[in-house]
Amino acid sequence: MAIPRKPAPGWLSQHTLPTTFYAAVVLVILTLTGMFGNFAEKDVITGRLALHLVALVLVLGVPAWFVVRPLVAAPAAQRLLNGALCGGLLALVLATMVFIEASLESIEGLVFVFQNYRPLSPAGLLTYGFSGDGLVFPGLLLLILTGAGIGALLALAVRLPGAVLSTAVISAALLVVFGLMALQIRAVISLPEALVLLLTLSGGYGVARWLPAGGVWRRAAGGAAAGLVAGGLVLLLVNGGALAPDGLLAADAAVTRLLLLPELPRLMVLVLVGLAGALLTLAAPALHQAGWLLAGGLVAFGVLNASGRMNDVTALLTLLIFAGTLLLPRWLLPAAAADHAALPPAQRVTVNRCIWLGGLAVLLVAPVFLGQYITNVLDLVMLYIIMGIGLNIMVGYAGLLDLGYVASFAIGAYACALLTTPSVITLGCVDTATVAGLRHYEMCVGAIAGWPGIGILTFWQALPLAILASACAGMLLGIPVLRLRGDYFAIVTLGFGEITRVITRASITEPLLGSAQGISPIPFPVINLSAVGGPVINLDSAQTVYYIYVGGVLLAIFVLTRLAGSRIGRAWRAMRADEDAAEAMGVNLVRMRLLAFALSAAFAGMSGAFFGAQLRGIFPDSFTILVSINVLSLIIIGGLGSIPGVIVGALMLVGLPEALRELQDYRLLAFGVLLVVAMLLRPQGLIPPAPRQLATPPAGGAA
Amino acid sequence: MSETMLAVRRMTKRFGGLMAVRQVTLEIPQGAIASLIGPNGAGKTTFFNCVTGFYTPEEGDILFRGASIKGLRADQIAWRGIARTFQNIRLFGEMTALENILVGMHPRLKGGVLAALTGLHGGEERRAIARAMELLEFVGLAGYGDYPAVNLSYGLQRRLEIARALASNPALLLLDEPTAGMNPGETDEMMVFIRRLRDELALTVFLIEHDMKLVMGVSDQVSVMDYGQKISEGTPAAVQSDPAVIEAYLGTVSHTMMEEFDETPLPPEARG
Repeated sequence: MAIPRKPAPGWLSQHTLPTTFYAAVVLVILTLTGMFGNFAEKDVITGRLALHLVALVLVLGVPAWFVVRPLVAAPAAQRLLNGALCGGLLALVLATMVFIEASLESIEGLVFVFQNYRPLSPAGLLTYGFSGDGLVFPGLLLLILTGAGIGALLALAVRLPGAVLSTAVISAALLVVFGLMALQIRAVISLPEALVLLLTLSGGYGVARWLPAGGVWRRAAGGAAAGLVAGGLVLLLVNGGALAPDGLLAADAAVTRLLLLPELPRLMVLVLVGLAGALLTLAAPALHQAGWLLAGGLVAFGVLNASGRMNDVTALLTLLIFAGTLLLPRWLLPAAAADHAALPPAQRVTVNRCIWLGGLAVLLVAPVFLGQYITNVLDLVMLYIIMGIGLNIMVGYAGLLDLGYVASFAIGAYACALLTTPSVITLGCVDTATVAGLRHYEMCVGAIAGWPGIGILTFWQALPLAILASACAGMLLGIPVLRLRGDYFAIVTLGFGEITRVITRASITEPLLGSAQGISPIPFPVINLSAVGGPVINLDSAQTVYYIYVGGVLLAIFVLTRLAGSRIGRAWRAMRADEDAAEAMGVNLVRMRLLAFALSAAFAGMSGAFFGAQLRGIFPDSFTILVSINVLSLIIIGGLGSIPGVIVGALMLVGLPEALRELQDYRLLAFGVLLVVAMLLRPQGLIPPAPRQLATPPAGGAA
Repeated sequence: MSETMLAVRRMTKRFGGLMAVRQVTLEIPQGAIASLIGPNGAGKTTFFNCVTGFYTPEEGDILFRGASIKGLRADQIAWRGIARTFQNIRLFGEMTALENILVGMHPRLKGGVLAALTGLHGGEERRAIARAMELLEFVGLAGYGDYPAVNLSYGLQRRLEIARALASNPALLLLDEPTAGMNPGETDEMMVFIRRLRDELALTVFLIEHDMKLVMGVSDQVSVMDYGQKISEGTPAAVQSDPAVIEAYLGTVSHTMMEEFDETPLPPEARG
């Protein structure tokens, strides 16, 4: 009988050496790619901490953590030994590499093979600045001791409560992100404004929480009153005191927005913030935490703005602020959760709606604060959210694995571009002399004489046509694959995606689609309200296009939530679960499939139109299979069929790589690792859809 | 006499050279509980699949309430009022019990895309949910409405499958081995339940079954198939004493016994 026998408990855990070995291999590869040398140029905290040290702590700490984690119940000495051994051995490997590098005559041979390799030993990057004579002692010795120290520290930390650990890790991670992005985000908000907002929010929260016998309405009134008081105080301070332009707390004028508002709007904003604080006392736990994190984040932005760069003091303050906003609400959370649960259902709905409205308001004012770069990233994220929701109809609901989703995206983009630029469709046949130099006309000459064209459309006229074209094309593509299932379906759609890309590049379509040069320039959308006496708004920047995307995302969310809870959505999900059974229940598979094709393509077409209008030009290279893969990955990572999942997935898969841009090529490595970890830990997705609770609560809860 | 609910005329279904159903003629009067029995591989499930539109028979005709349904798709037949369950339970696993029943109501609801977007189907949805709750209660699943179907026990899943079939208000209900995998106590309950379906809901029930106690106890009419052909038909007592039936079963006694252990879900083609 071969019963696997656990080895007798010894001082050395069975995981320690294998884990250390694997980590060492990774460490060697990373070092040879020149990671430490490259990262040394990225300051996290100016003059104090560069990214290579963060990387060092990670590559030594993460394996050590995996070694000590299973030993959480073991005696402290055993944990210390294993942790320090793992960290120390890894550091020893690194030290050996540095030593070899230092003893080479020149590193040219090394650089010849590993082209990105950067020298470590002369700069003393990993050896506390010791180089030359001091490299081995004390430099490399210190490096090994550091490794062992990190391992030992983690061996002790593993017993800490989960809340403390997660707070420490998240705060440190946020600090690193803040430090790396300091240049892009330091103009978000000024410190006085951030403090005013935080104090107003806390005031509203405090009044509502400790108001005797506070019902919903009394809490709301209390919060609003707190906001009113704050508004009055700010008024006094601005008009003659510390917050005045020449006052004690005068802010960076370039980023001051709230304090420069006229008195009445400023008062209204602060009353609303106070009200938001009051509602936060009744919010569901996740929203409660999110609200506080947002407020803390604002203050951190303010601190960064006040100091201008991430120096030691700013770093310490940022760390404290994030730790505080993560830990403090935990203490407030039980009461808020209890109050939230105690609300009558009707009032809970109202409170939730108010909080969502508040969230929407934050979303709408965000681009004013976030600046060009981050708003651009958010635009991209929202583009992918719309596509993710559209593809969810196919994959998450109807169960059709579509690998060629980019086809619909491209069709929408090209349709909208053709209709809004001079082309044979819009201007018809004109004689060649008139249009010399404009290649879009070439196709027309002599082909269909006398075609007058439909005239150049505005973006708003072209948008519905582009969506319609995309939906029709989606349905047409759907007809040949109606009888295919599973893998076969996926392969055929993969082909469609490629066909579309090839067509856009082909020379035969060049007169119309422009081949590799694409179609450009495309005019930006304009909201023309002059007919009713309003202004003419040009949506020509990331910050203005943002609002089109917000509208698109809201529309997509609305359509999918409504459909999901309807007969149509149920039929789709039934189809996904079991086609035969669904058919036996009277679900018309052909019609439902075509509907899914059309709707999902419509969303892709809408994103395509937005995309072209934002970039003011479209090129075949934007429509590669990577788009399909990205959209598919983000809905799988987020959780198939779940709307919050799509949002989180898009933030993670599209937003994160942009935020990690400072890591250069390593961002794809980090990104890949994150994907693998996410899928290993949560194969059902980050936020899988919850089962719909339709039966009346007593019936649902009784059994 | 009451009118004929289902009439099958000289129906033949071939798979390549194999004649799974051969020239079978069968009539079920309205309000009857009819059973189809026979050894393994006799063609019973193929017969069901032909009636419900999963297969199209090569010859013969199928009349439902006097109109031919031969060649229609499965969903069209469901719309006309024939509902079925499956030999190996085929619920929509991730959907809740209530949602499974709502899918069953698909042919009886009207809401399309526009209604869903505008919210105009609200009243219809509320009525549908109320009706689904009644059905849950009827099959003894009250309180399980919000449970995902996969989380229900085997017996409850069988009942939920019947409730889902009932949801479309069918006139004819086809049950493919409703007691497969059940113990004697559960089988007795199922017998009572099938009678209730006929008596309380005025349904015509047509079932494939291997449990002879249930078949003999509940059926008004029993048809016996062997090698794709109908070999006998009549009241339970008449069929039991038919020499042809006895011969068919005696030759395959071991098969019937093995049935109890053979729960592997085979594709309908292989099963025949």
